[in-house]
Order: sequence, then C-alpha cells, then structure tokens
Amino acid sequence: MSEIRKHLRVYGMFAKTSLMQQLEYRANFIIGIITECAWLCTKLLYAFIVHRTGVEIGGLSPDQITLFVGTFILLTALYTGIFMNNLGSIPWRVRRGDLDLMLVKPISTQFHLTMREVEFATPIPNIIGGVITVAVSWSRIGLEAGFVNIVAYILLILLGITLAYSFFLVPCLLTFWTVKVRALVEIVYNCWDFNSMPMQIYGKWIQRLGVFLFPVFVIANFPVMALFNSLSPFYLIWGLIAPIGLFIIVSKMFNSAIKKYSSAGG
Amino acid sequence: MKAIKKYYTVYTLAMQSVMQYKTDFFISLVSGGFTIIIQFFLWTAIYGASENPQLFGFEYAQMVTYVVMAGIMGKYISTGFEYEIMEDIMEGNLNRFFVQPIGHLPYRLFGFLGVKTMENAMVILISAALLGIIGITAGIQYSVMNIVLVLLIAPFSLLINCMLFYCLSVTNFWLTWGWGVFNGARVVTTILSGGIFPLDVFGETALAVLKFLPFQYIVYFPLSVVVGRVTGMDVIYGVLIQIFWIIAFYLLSRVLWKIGMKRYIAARG
Amino acid sequence: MQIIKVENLKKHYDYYQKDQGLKNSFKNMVKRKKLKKEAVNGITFNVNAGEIVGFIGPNGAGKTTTLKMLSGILYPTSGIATVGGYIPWERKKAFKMGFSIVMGQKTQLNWDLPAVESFNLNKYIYEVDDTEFKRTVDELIEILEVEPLLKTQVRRLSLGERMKMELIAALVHRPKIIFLDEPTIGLDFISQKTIREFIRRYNEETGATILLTSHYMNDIESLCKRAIIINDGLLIYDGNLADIAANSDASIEEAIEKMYNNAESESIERR
Repeated sequence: MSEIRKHLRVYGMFAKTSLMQQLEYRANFIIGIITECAWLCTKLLYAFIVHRTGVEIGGLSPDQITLFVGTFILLTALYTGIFMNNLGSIPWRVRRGDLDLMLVKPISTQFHLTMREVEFATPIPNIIGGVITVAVSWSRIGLEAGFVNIVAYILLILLGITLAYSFFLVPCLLTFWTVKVRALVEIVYNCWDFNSMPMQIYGKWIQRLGVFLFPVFVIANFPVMALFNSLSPFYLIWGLIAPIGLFIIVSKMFNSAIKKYSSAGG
Repeated sequence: MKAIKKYYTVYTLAMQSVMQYKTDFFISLVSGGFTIIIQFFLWTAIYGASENPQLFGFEYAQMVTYVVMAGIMGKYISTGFEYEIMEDIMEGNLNRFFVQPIGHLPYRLFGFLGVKTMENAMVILISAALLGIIGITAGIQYSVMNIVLVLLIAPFSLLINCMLFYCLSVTNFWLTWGWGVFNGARVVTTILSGGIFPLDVFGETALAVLKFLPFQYIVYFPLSVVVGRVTGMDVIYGVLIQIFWIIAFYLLSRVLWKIGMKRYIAARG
Repeated sequence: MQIIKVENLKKHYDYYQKDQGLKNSFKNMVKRKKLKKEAVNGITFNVNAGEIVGFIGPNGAGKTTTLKMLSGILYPTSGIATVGGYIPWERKKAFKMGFSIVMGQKTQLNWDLPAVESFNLNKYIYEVDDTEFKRTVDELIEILEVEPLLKTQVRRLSLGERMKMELIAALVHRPKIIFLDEPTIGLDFISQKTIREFIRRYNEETGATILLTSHYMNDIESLCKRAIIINDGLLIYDGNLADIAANSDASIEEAIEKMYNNAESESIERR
C-alpha cells in the first residue's frame, strides 16, 4: 500500500516537472494545442456527417453515435496525455542508455520508463471537446443511465486506456530484440483510428477480429455499449479480462525485455 | 539549357535516393489504408441504412469512389520537404546557396519531385488495384475517360500543395515554430480540400466560400472529375484556376523569400 | 567490514562480425560467425566499508562493465558479488535505497529545468523526509558552492557545474556506497579539483564507501590509497597505489603503463 502511495507521489512529481518543462517552450505548447484542435475537428466531422444524413447505423441513432465519438475523443485525451509520448520514445531512450539510470532507482522500472512524461498541451482541446460532445449528445438522447451504467462506463474507459497501453506497448518493447521497430510502432498506433466510428459499421467477422484477436474495438466501444445497456454479459466479462490479462502479459514481456537488456547490454 | 540539365541532375539523383525514405513511405501507405477501410465501411453502412439513394448529391458508387480516392490523393499530393527547408533556415544551411550557382526553391523542389515520381508511380499502381477490387465488390463502373483526365490533372494538384507548403516553410524566417505547425496545417488543408469527405457535406454556404480558396483545387476538384460531377468545359476552367493558384503561390513564395533572406543575412551576417 | 565482495566475476558478450561489402551482408543473413567478447573475465576483490578505491584501466578494459554489474544494471555471465550484503542484479529495493551511481557520460537531471527539480524528484523516489532532505541538500549546495546556480536550467550550466548538480542528485538519500564512473571527464582543471575535494570530504564526513574510475591519474592519486588495475577484463594489480612505483624511479603513470604491457605479453604467451 505504501508502495502505491509512493508511486502516486512520484507520479505527481513526474507531472509537475513535465508541465514545467513544456511551459519552457511556450510556442510548442500553443502549437500543440492548435494542431490538436484540427485533429479534434476531423473526429467531430464523422459525427457531423452522420447527423447530416440522419440515418441509424447498426441500431445507433446519430446522437448515440455522437456520444460514441465524444467518448473516443476523451479516450484520445487520456491516451495522448498519459502514454503516447512515453511509449513513442522507448526505442531511442533505450538506445541512448537512459534505461541504465532507471534500473538503479528504487521504483518500478516499467512505471518509470512508460509513465515518465505527462503531456499537457494536446489533451486540453480533447478533454474540453470530449466532455462537451458527451454532455450534449447525452442530453439530446435524454439518456437515463442508471448508477450502475455510469460506473461501468467510467470503469470501462479506464480499462480501455489500460488495454490501449498494453496493446501499443508490445511493438515498442520489440526494440529490445531488434532495432528497427519504428514502422511497426507507427502502424500499430494508427489502429487507434479504428475507434473513430462504432464497430457496428463493420461486418460481423471484422467485429469479432477487432474484439477478440486485436482488441482495438474494446477500447472505445465497450464503455458506450455499457451506457446503452447493450453490452452482453459475455462481452462485459471480456471487457474486464482482456485489459487485465493483456496488462499482465505485457508486464511479463517487459520483465523479459529488461532481462534481455541486462544480459546483453554494455 | 545548362540550367535545365542541372535541375534534371538533382531530380534524377533524388529519384535514386528514394530508397532511404522507403520506411516512411510504407508507413504512410498502411495508415492511409486504414482510413480508407474505415471510410469504405462507414459509407456502406450509411447508404445501406438510408432510404435515399443519393446523399449530398452523391450516389453510393460515387461516394465510395470519392472517399477511397481521397485517401489515395492524400498520399499522392503529400509533401515532406518542409522539414528540410525549416532546418535549412534554422540551422543556417542556406549559406551554401549563396556560393553555389543553384536556387534554393528549384533545388528543393526538383529534389522532392524526384522522390515523388517514384512514390507516385507506386501510388498509382496501388490505387489502380484498389479501385479494381472495390469496383468489383461494390459493382461500380468507372469512366475510363475520367480516369485519364484525373491522371492529367493530379500533377497540378501536387504543385499547388507543394507551393502552399513551400510558402509555409518560408515563414520560418520569422517564426521558429517547429514541425508542429506543419502537422496542424496538413490537417486543416486536408479537411478544407475535401481530402476526408467531399466538400458538399459542409453545405451550400461553405461550398460557395471555399470556391474562392485554393484548397478545393487540390483534392475536391480532381475527384469531382473522377466521379463525373464536373464535366466538359468546367474541367478546363478548373485546370486554369489550378494554374492560377500555382502562379500566385509561386509569386508569394518569391516575395516571402526575398524579404526573409534579407532578414536572414542581417541576422547572420 | 567488507562491504563489497566480488568473486570471479565474468561478463561475456556475443557479437557478430561482418566483413565489408554487400556480399557478406547476405552471407551474414544465412550464417553468422558468433564471436565472444570477454569484457570482464573473472575478477576478484573486496572493498572495506569507508574505503575509496580507484579503478584504473585503459578504455575497454571492463571498468564500466564491472560498475554496471555491481549496480545491478547488467547480469554477470558468472561469478558472485555482494554489495552492502545484497546481490546487485536481484535489484532488491533495499539495495537500491542504499547506493548510488554517477556516470560522467550520462545524466539523471532534467535538461530543461533547474537542477532543484531533479533533487526534489529524487526525494520522492528515495523516500527521504522533508527535514532530512533539506538538511542534506543545503549542506551539499554549500560545500559545492552552487547556490547561485539553483535557478538555472541544467542545459545552460557548464559541464563542471552540471557535474556538481549530478553529484547532489545522487546523494540526496545519503547512500552508504557510491560508484563514480569518470566523474571528472571533460572537466577543466579547477572543476576537477573541486569535485575531487568534495569526494574526499564526503567520504571523511559520512564514511561512505566509494569506488571510482577515472582517466586522470590526478584524481586517483589524490583520492585513493588503494588502486585496482584491470586490463582486458583481468585484474592485474590490487594494492597500495604508492607501492606501484615504489621500487623504481618511474612515475606511477609509467609504472602502470609497464604493467599493461606485461599483462599483454603474458596473455599472448598463454595463447
């Protein structure tokens, strides 16, 4: 317990130093926000299209799809804020030898390597845009979600982020075994966009593939389905197991990556 | 004649060096492919659910062709020299263009087009295959005439985009805003040029306003030709406007470059 | 009390050799010639609590590799080592809490921020309480005379100033064992002297055990009574620094050079 408290405190310091560091470069900070606003527009564009056509897709009304898009935007805010830069910089951090000094620190190395930086600029537009989109579409639907649904929604968002973390960490860890992973890392990262529309637009087989084999659909689809009461018990259990299971597997993989590093190294 | 030969050499040298960019090219192809997949399924679902066979003035076959081609066009017109130019300006690499008898714009532009020729040959092959597959699965008939036309128009689109980003890179003389701004600009121009959805989705007013901006001549116009929404003399008018924008941006870039260069020399001596 | 014990420690790397040319690149894809580098090839020594020991050896002799093994960064190929009672590469938390490593070529400071922020971060990482942290850091700041630099971003500091900050960051938790890997590399004469004096003073006042590598004999001569010399992964001398050149007119540097040469010819004979 005290270890968890310690890591939380250290994380507070990580966040503080990251913010100070980012404010050192004001121009970058502002441009980061502006660029992300443009990306936010492309995400909202999808919801806009669906509204303009006014059709129901896979039983979802335009407002329901908008709620989905809002959730996806919130997830993007969380992922870019907490993990994206960290995972992206693993390959060069390892090559530069930063890992050496992390290994001697009395905190979890996985925590240190994958959560060192907190990004503040890019999540700002996404948090604001995401909250507004969710709130507006929620009230337009007149959604009367019960307490349980809301708890499930929030819980599945957090699990979705955990899943995204594990899923995107895998290609980054391959850097310990082979040097050229950049292409793979970026291609896997681009899978994120498969959540820009509900998975109902795809056929049955693609849905199954994206839920069970490469569980990208779980990230944004499951929280929203929980809110609409359309998440079957089977999917709900998978929504709990997949993130936790994958996290355990990835942590194991992280340990053997470190082992590999320490055995070869130098 | 000598000048032409000089730039031709830059062009062919770049063509040979294309291999060094192959990873980036491959990545952008795959991620572009993802967007195309999402778009294809989205519109198939929308048209499947809609009672109206026409949405935003597009039939299903036209819409699918448009969004798929938009993904491909995005790759076809993509630039990439802006980072090099930014570095040239910020790191002081421009000095060599004072001593060597070669202009900066032609040097960067021809070098870039050399890389681009190889890549776009690839892009055209891939898009032919992709359109073939989609045509068969979705039962779409293409007009050969329109496809030939777009192959002729597309290089102008590429040039507009190049000149646009060249002007943007030159602003680094005044503002050191780093590469972030290029990403932002790329997203905005992609939306405004109809590179994600046809501009008709934004409504009549937006369409009327966008007519006076250069963006729609980058993607929306050539793709309107492909799907047969722009025909006859309108194609010629469109190309003339494209040429107008290329010249306008070229002149703008010259002016910006001259002013910026004065500043650069004053600052560095 | 022996606080560091090292017995027959070895670290071997596998690597692949590639002959020049494209043809050989293809050859390598099919079959690679696996080669072994013996970075550390069986060294044994002990260090008593409170000692400062100088680690001497030419580039590539295995000094840094040894320090990395004693810090738990690298696993040895074979051999035993205990540092403060722990096996370093088990990476027990209690072990990490009690030692520190400073590498002259690497930084643990945040480049864009004043060094104080990095001290603060280490305070949380090493669970140092506020009063103790303040006492330790204030004292170190005073000794190293870096008070006026505390508000300056690390990237704007000179190399010597940065190294002083690096030392403070590494000592926030008052480690009992300190490994210094070329702490004076690239520093000017004055900064070298300040760092050296600081290390001596710190050792005298806290009784910390210090293992130090350096290219500059000045560092070793003025700080260490005892020297361990390694060459080509092998220990070739362990004893009083003063004894190295005791029986001849040569300087210590010359005596050490002679030692390298002897070791080399011996190893050739063995083959």
